[in-house]
Amino acid sequence: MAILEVENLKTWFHTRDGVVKAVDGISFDLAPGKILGIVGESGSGKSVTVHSLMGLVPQPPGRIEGGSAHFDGSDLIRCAPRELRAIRGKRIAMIFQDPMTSLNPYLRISEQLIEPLLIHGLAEREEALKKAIAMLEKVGIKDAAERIHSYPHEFSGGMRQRVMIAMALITDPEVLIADEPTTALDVTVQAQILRLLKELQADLGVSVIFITHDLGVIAELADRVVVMYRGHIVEQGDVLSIFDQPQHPYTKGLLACRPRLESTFKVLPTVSDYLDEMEVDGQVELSEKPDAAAHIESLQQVADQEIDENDLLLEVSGLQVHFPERAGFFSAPKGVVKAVDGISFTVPRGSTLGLVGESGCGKTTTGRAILNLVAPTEGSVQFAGQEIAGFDAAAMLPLRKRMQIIFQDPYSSLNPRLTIEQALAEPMAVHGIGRHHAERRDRAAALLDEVGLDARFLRRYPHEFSGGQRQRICVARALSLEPEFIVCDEAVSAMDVSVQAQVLNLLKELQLRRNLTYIFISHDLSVVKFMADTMAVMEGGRIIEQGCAEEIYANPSEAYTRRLIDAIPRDSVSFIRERVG
Amino acid sequence: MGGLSIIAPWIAPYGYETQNLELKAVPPQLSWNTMQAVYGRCTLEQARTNAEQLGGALGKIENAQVAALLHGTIDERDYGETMWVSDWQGAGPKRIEISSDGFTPLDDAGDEATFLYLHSRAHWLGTDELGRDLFTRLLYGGRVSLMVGLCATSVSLTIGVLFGAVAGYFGGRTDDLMMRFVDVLYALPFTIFVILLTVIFERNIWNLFLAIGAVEWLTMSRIVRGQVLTLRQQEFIEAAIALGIPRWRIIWRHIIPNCLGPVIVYTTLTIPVVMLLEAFLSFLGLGVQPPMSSWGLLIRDGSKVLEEFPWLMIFPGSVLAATLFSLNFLGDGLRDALDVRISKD
Repeated sequence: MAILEVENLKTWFHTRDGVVKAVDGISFDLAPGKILGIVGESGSGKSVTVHSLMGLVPQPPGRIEGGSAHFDGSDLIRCAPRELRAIRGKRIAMIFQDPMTSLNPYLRISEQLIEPLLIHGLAEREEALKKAIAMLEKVGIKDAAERIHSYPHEFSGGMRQRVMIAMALITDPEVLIADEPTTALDVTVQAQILRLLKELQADLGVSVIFITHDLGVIAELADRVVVMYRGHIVEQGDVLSIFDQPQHPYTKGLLACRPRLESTFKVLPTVSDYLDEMEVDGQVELSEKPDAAAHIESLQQVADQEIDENDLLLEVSGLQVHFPERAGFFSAPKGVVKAVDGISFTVPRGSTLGLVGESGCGKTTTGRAILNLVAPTEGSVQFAGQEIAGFDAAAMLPLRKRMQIIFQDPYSSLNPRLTIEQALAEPMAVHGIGRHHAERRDRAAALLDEVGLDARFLRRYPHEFSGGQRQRICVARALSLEPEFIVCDEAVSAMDVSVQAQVLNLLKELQLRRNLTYIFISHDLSVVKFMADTMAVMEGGRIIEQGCAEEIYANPSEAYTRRLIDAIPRDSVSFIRERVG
Repeated sequence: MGGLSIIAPWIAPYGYETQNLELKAVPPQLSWNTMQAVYGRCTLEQARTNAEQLGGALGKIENAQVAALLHGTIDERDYGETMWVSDWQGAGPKRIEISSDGFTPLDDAGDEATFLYLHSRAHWLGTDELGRDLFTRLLYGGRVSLMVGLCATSVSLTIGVLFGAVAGYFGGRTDDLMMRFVDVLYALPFTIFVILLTVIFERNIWNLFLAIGAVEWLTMSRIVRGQVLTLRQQEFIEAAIALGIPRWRIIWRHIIPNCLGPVIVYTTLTIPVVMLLEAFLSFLGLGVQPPMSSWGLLIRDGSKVLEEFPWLMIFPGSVLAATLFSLNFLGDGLRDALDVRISKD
């Protein structure tokens, strides 16, 4: 007997440009005490599904066109708002994606934790507080009795997500809906949160709907899996059968496109290698490409990059970046934050150095310091034999052409008011590449073509593109100056796995074609493993381990590295079989 | 109204300083019928004197020939001519003859009681305590107010946006210094500051714009600075630096266009503030001087006699309100037009 039965749910959005069928007739059951994973890329309708259940779909433009969701005798779709309010937050609770924004920064944690108890009249204040402290302890926050009176900003991202979980579970709900609760977190923190959710679920017997774009997370956690694509469920089944014998080509693609530690792909398979989309009478028909396996096999036939170990493009030694903690206008700095504390490494031309570590370890600052975007406090950065540490803007200008950076967030790294053409042509104009406007436009078109976008896009604005397309544009912009060296700062961390695979392939392809040298910064070791030749593990501003990427994975000498490797979600069939039992 | 104000001198029925002391504080009406002139048989000389009095009272006279008479262009050569005088009060046009005796009604000869209605353009919005036509003064006042509103606001816009953008962009100590400078200016009593400016420079209307603008930019610069500080965190700014794009170009092309939204909204809010400031300064004798008027002045004067002569407050007030409404819509429209995210296709 299922605790929640969703049948033929349809949620459409009526926009100016027509009807968007975000969720178009899906049905699934949630069994009591089980974890149901809903997986799909952004825009697949997985979030809209649960928002529809919770009555959180903005209406208009959204409208639930039909279907039902039976929960303990009432239909969540049709029941009166008052009835829904009594269920929502009390018997069905929800955790959101971004722990940084889903807590009210002006209220103490204690207030926010007991609020649901008070609202639903489940406890008096005193009792509620006691319950809240117990809950905080349960989600692994030490000294809960004291920390409960802190404000949200005093907690790290992972801790906040724990608080969010505590808040959701405090009313002892029967169903917990988790909407991408680990996507905004580091891999290591993600692993902790997943473990915590698993423990809590077993402990409290709550049923969980877990939404994610990452099949690896599903493999760690879920009992049953629903795969969504374009508002439809393309496949559902128990976790083992989905991973062992995926039926639908989309599921196959999604499984294949995750970079894995043990895989030896040189080019990652993508969903489009498996899935054929045909539009017939306005209906999209999905079918499997017949020769997917052979095609992917043929993709791997790329030559290895020839790397001359002695031809060093970048040599960093003893690099330090300290930020003064300023107390006031006239007073001396209180102290320094040693973001980067004396690190040294070299990058041969044409190779990729992977820089890994948790957030706050100084890897991003390192990338910025190399480009002189933040001034290094000490140490030397030699680029192509030239010492560049501490160069000012004018001295850096000729070098800007040769070294570039790609950022994490494709949404904020393009000026929303410039067309793609303007964004690509501006750096060329500044550096005097191309004699006139028309020539620069031709170059921009060629660049778009090179990153796999249509040259028609030149006149469009960034908001018209998806995250993956924007990141391609960012790559094109970085390439517009024809650099030799690019820092990729978490360049794929904000992306769905399916898009991530495409961008990673693009970066690799460009490296081969243009003999580029990369520093690839990421918190995700599986991605770094795919990209990097050599790698450096950073912790607390220092490099604690560096060397050949393969070797570090095989034999990590530091416990910290070991932990990073262990944090990667495991999705091998044997692991799932063992877990499910 | 704003549009009309610009061409005020060509459409205003009276001069802005024209007074009629007999018509003090007259409520608005569309035509004027209590002031009639009785022109029975009278000499040209008498008619002229009468008409002069009447003409003075009513401002301008509709009938071309009577006006011509007033201006002395009808003389002996016109004797024997007839002219049509329209009678707006119901009776049809009457023909009168100009003779050495003056005007002689022809249709109803011998009727001493024939009225010649000297029709005036009415005081559509009434007159003020000094007998000046409110409509006219509104039109003329609009010129001053709109000019102050637009010029002073653009002065404050320019200074504020540039100052704020620079402070926000460079950050750190530069930002601290620049913002403390703003704080100091905030702390100065505003009137003293403006008096100082108008004393140092010559007192004319352009300096008034400058003075008000020079005070109003403070808030603008803070708003812009706040925007820039958040924009500065955006990766496209960092990307621009990494691409080697010069600072000024980054500020001009990447930063300022992206903080236009709040700036436009604040600008439309600044314009009324500036208009009222001008009224206040004028009251102190630092702004426009009577008999010239401005909307702010009219409102202020009107508010003092609100109970007795409400129209003196209501009309300037509604004109100002309507203008500000339009400006707000204009601001919204501008913001949407400039926002590429609201797609045009």
